[in-house]
Amino acid sequence: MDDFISKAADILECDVAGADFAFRDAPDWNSMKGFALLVMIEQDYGKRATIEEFMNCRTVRDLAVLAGAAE
Amino acid sequence: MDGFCTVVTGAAGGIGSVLVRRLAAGGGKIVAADIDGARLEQLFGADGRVARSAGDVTTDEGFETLLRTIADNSCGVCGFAHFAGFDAPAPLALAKPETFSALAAVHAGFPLRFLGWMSKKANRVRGASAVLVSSAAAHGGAKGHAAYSAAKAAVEGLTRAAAAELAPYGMRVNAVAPGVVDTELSRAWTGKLDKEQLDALAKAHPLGIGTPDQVAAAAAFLLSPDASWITGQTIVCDGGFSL
Repeated sequence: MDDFISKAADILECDVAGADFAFRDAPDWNSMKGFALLVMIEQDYGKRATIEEFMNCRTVRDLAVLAGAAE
Repeated sequence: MDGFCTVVTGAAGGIGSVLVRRLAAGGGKIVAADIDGARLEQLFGADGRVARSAGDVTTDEGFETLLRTIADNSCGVCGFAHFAGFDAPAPLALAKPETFSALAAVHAGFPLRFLGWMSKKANRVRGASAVLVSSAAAHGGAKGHAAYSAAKAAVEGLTRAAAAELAPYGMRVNAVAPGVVDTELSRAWTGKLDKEQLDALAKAHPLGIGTPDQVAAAAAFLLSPDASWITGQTIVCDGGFSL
């Protein structure tokens, strides 16, 4: 999970306090960052998520579950 | 041209398959190449006008398979349309050099090699025409497509240089630069876009998102004798995306 949080923080360009961080609340959030999260999940975790699955995610933990990276 | 064929790569894909059908309907002999041999057979196995070549044309083995298929059909190559390719969208921060290498290999590396083969004395056919595939992404600054855009820009450089070299032999090289076309390839990345991004994409194409037929028609024109005085050009075919 720490590794996933670190990658998410890198994309969001902000401190991510923990897995319960609501990623759309990140400063300067935009759809390109959402796209980057989806690409990261596919590149690093081999999981091709649909936009519907992504839209249902609220926290970094939700994304990690989607990626199969949650502990 | 009797005794001659047109080679179409990416022939099992959205645009390539439409082009093969269009050319075959016009009476031409086609060598259809694609990495997906099963799909090629499914699409064209029953069509005697279409010879199939299954393999990855960016590899030595796939390239040799293609040349063998051409030789087995005893045809000179009077047309070449290169629709094989893929995209690997990623924001710049996640773009990888190895992805660019793979994209460049299929979009520009293979046609460089095949045009080189066509340029050799034994393979030259006066009146031959090649159509490569660039993209509106090479012109317009497509966010999330840096590696693809760079590979497609290489296609346009290749088009001009090859056209200059081959013109003395009466051979032409052009490219089409499509905007977003509704194919399996484009759906792989539009599926990652949210509603806001999809709406913006649709709005950016005043004539609508393209269909495979619309791009195949432009390629067929460039391959045909109707385009006999056109070479080294990239025809933008993008529904007004670049306006």
